Amino acid sequence: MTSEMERTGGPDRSTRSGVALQLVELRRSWGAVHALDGLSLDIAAGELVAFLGPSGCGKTTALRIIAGLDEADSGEVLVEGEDISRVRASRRGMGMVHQAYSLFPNMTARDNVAFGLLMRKVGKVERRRRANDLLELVGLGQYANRYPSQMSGGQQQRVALARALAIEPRVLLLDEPLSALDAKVRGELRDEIRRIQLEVGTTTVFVTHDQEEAFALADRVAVMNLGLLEQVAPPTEIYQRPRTAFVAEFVGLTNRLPGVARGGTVDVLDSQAPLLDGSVESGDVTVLVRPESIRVTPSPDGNATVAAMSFRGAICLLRIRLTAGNIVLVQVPSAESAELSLGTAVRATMRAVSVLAVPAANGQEGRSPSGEGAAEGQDSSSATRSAS
Amino acid sequence: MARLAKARTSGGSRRTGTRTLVRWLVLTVIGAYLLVPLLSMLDFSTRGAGGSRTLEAWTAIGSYPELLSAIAVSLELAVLTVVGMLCLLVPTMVWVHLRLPGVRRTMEFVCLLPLTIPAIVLVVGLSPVFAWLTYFFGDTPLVLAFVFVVLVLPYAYRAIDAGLRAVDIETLSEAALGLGASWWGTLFRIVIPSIRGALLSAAVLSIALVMGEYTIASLLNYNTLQVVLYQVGLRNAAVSVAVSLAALIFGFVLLFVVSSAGSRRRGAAREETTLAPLEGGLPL
Repeated sequence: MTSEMERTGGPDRSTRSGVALQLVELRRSWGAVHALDGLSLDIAAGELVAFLGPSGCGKTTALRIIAGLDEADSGEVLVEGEDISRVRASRRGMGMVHQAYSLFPNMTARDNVAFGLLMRKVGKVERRRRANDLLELVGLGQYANRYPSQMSGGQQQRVALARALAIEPRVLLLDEPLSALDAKVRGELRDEIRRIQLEVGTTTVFVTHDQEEAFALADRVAVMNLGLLEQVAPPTEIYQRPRTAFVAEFVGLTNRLPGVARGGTVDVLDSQAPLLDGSVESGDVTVLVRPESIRVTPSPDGNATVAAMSFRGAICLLRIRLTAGNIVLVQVPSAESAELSLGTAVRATMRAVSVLAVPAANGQEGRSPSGEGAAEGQDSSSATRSAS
Repeated sequence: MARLAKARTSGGSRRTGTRTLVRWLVLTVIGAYLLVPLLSMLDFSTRGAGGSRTLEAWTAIGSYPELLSAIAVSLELAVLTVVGMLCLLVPTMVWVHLRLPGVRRTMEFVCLLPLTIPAIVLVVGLSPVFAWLTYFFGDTPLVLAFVFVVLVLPYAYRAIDAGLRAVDIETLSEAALGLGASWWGTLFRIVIPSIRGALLSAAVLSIALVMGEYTIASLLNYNTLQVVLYQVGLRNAAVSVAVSLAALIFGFVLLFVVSSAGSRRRGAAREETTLAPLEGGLPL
C-alpha cells in the first residue's frame, strides 16, 4: 500500500493519526432494491477513500451506515477492529459533512463549530479557542460571528468541515459536500479539503459521483455499481487499468472497438495491444479504448478519415470515421493536430498501452465490421455516457 | 435621440405616478376597511349624552368584576392552550417528520378534523371526558384548555408544518446527532430554534382563537371573556364594545410584539451583512 501511495503522490501514512476502518459484507435492501449487496472494504488509518459511482449505486447508503444514520441489514463496521455496527450515531465520533447545507441556522459560525464540543461538555473557553482555531484552519477566522444566512455556500461548507473536525472525529465522512457549489468554488474547496485532510490526518471517506473530484482528492477510489464495489485502486490505476467495463466506461471517455483477442493480446485498429487483467483472452471481443490511447498519423492509404475536430487548448479532440464506418473519438496533443484537417485520411493505431477486452456481445459496437454494428456513422465512443 | 429619451422619461414618470396612485388607493381602501369598524367602536364606546364624549364606558370596565375575572380566565386559558398545543404537537410533528414520514398524511388529516366538526358536536362528544376532567381538576373553566388544544390543532398544525418544511430538519437533525446531541438535545437546541417563527405563528393563532371563542365555553357554561362580554352587552352595550375594542387592541399589540421578536434577528443579520464588505475576506 505504501508503494501505491508513493506512486500516486500520496502522503506518508506514518505521519498520520487516523484510525483503520473496515466494512465487512454490508448489505442493505429496501424491498427488492439492494442498495448494498455485500460491500467489503478495508480503509487504512489516515487514508482518504472516495466512493465513486452513479446515483443509486449505494455509496451514500454506505456512508450513512458508517455514520450510524442508517442500519445495515447485515454486515459489520469495524473501527480499529471494534464493531460499532450497533453503536448510536451520537456515540460513534464520526464527523460528517452533508451534501445539503447543514449549518444550524440559529447559531453563528463559531457556535456551529463549537456545538460538538458543547455536547462533549468541553469548557466554554476551550470551546471558543478550538472553534476559532478550526475556523482559521478553513480560512474563515473573520467570519466567526456570522450566521449561515450571511455566508455563501462555499463558506458554509467550510464551516461544516470545521464543525466536523472540531470533535476530532475517528473518521471524517464527506457526503458530496461540493455538489451544491459552482464550479470555481468547488475546485477551490476540493483542494482545501485535501490540504486540511493531509494536515489533520483523519481517515476520510468521500462520496461523490464526480470522477474529477474523486481523482483529485483520494488516495484510493472505490468505484461502486449496484451496491457492489467494481474496483478499488489509486486513481491512476482506476483510469489506466480498469478491471471491468463499467469502470472503464464510468471513468473518462471510452471507445468500444471490435477486436480479436489471442494469447494475452488483442488485434485492434490494425495493431496489437496487451490485455489488462480481467479481459476476455480469445475470440471476437469489444475493446475498450481511451481516446488518448489512439495515435493518428496522416496517411493516404490509412484506415480512417477525420470527421470532426475540436480544439481544446493543449489537446485536440478528433472524431475519425473508420473505413468500416465506426466513429471513434481520439485525443491528440494540439501540436500533433496541426497537419490534420477535416477529411484528412489518417492511419489510426494503438499506442503502447494495455486495454480491457469484454465479450463482443456486451455491445453491438464491438461486433465485426461486417456485422450489424458496423452501420454507417455509428459512434463507437461512449463519451455521452461517461460525462466527467 | 434626446427627444426620444425625454419622451421615454416622461412616459416612465407617468407610469410611476399612476402606479403610486393605485398603491395609495389600495392602501386607503384596505385601511378604511380595517379602521372604520374600530373607529366606530371607539365612537360608540365614548358617546355621551347630547353628542358629548365620555370615557364612562371605559372606566366602568373595572366595575364589572366578572369581566375582569373573565379576562384573566381567557388569558390563562390562552397560555395553557399554547403550552398544551406546543407540548403535544411539536415533538410529535418533528418525530413524524423525521422518523415516520409515511404517517404525515394521516396526522394532517387527524389535526384538520376539528375544522369539520361543529362546536355543538364537539361539546356533546366531549361531555363524558369533561365529567372526568372536572372530577380530577375541579369545576374550573381552565379545563376548557383541553378542548381548546383540540380546537387550535388545525391552525397550529398548518403553521408548524410550514416551518418544518421550510427548514431541512432531516439534515440538521442528522448533523446534530452525528455531533453527539441526544434526541431531546436536537429538538431543543436545533429544531425548535430553527422553526421559532412558525411556533410563534402557531402560538398567536391559538391565542387569537382562544380569546375569541364563544360557542364551546357558553355551551359548557364557563365564563370566558366572550361569554361575559355577551352578558355585559345585554346590560350595557357601551362597556361591552369598549372591552371588545380593548381586546382587539391587545391582539394587535400581541401580534406586533411577536412579529418584532421574529424579525429582531433578521434585522441584526441585515446589519452584519451590510458591514461584511468592509471586512474583506475570502472570495468564496
